[in-house]
Amino acid sequence: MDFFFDLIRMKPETFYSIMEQMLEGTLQALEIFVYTAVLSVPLGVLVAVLRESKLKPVSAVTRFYQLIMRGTPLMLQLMFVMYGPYYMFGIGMNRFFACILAFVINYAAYFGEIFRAGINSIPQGQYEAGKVLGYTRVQTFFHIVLPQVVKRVLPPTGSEFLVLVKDTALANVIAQPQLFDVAKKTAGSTVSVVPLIVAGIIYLLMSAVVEAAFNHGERKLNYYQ
Amino acid sequence: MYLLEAKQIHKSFGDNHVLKGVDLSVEEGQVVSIIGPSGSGKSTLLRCLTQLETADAGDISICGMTMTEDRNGKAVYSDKAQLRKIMLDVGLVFQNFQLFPHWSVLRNLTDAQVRVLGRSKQEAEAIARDLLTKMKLSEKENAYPCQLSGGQQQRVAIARALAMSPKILFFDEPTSALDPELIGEVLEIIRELAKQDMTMVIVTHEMTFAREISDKVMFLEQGNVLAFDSPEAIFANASHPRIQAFLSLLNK
Ligand SMILES: Nc1ncnc2c1ncn2[C@@H]1O[C@H](COP(=O)(O)OP(=O)(O)OP(=O)(O)O)[C@@H](O)[C@H]1O
Ligand SMILES: [Mg+2]
Repeated sequence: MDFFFDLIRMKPETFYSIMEQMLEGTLQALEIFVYTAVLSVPLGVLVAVLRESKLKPVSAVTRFYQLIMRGTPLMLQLMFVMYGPYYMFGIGMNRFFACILAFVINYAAYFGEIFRAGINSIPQGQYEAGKVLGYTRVQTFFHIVLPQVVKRVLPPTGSEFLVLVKDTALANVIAQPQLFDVAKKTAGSTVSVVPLIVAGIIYLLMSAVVEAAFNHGERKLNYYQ
Repeated sequence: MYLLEAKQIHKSFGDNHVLKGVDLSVEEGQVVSIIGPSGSGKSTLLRCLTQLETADAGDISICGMTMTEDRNGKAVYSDKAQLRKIMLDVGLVFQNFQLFPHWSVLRNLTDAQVRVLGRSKQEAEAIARDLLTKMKLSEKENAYPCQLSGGQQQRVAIARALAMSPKILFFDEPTSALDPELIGEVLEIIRELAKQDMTMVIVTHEMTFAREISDKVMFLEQGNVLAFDSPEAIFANASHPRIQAFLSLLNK
């Protein structure tokens, strides 16, 4: 063990203290990840449905929203949500709330596009078969169309989730504490590369878990087509 | 008694006047075939009768229930509840099957029975298994559609429609998507249904089959009914030169 601490040129107390902060930061990053994932997926379904609306203004507004969210940096959006209300109206935002809000509206725009493509890939004949068998439109959508959409959108959704794991680091621009923030600060204070390497390993582990989960899901849905 | 009565059906897609006043009446237990060149409006007619398209003008009633009534040259449809009731008396078999790929064969046959008709799961499964036996597909109940041949898929699709106990069954080219060696098994099933006096309207390019199975044959050309007559009159009689031309073209 001493050999290890010699190698990294760090006192055990320092190392353990860093690891403790890293753990804290990991949990905070996971918090951003989970809130964003849980909220942006259903919102993404809504975005997809609104985008396909027959009411022209509704689909136009949705499209404009998606353009802004996908066409500007997430970092800028975080800054805007956090400080915009203060600069414009003197309203101070809760940091964590602003962080989640920015992530959710950004990711919902991307998911909206993925889900829209998924819904459009289901042949019209499936809706017609549902209708002729007497299913209502809602039943047809939820029992016949949506399960097939889930299978088709799982791979691109998984990719977005992988990006989200790493994007949690962007919360740094509004000083929302999380893993990257800890890594940066402790690397500076100890003048060591160790915190950066540890943070990298943790991000990698989280990504691996997300990837494995989606692979598992894809395999489970492999029973047809 | 007429199970289906359609009068002066008109349908346009934009400037394309596809159905130009089509009449069709089908008695209970009758088999009616619809033949005609590609683009003549056969599918469109079937889709109007099964509520997948709305007719622009004309009257349609099915099983004595009015689906749409012509008022001053405009089709006025009945209320939602009535249309739904009519829908439940009607079955449709698609050219490309349209089975639900995420469900097993059994679930394809039972889900609508349970969810739409409110039958118990046991009852629905008993009906489904009985139908699968008739389709010679008993051993396939746990298979998924993608694991079946085209002929098997189409037989499942026919069973799925029959499971809802329709009073009238429509087919839109049920064998056109099949490899030649698989056509026979599907036609055999339809023949069997005809023997059991199932009321059917069949769009088909299988002329020998149409001739043999039909009580009446409709020849549709460019949205007009050129003839609606017994198969003997349509196929043997040379009184319809256009039909003869079409048939001889097919035989080449
Ligand atoms: N949804 C639609 N929108 C616009 N035009 C359509 C639509 N459906 C059919 N048509 C047109 O209506 C005409 C009749 O088509 P329909 O599919 O009814 O012919 P069909 O007799 O079934 O031909 P086939 O033997 O090739 O199946 C065609 O000119 C077709 O292009
Ligand atoms: Mg057709």
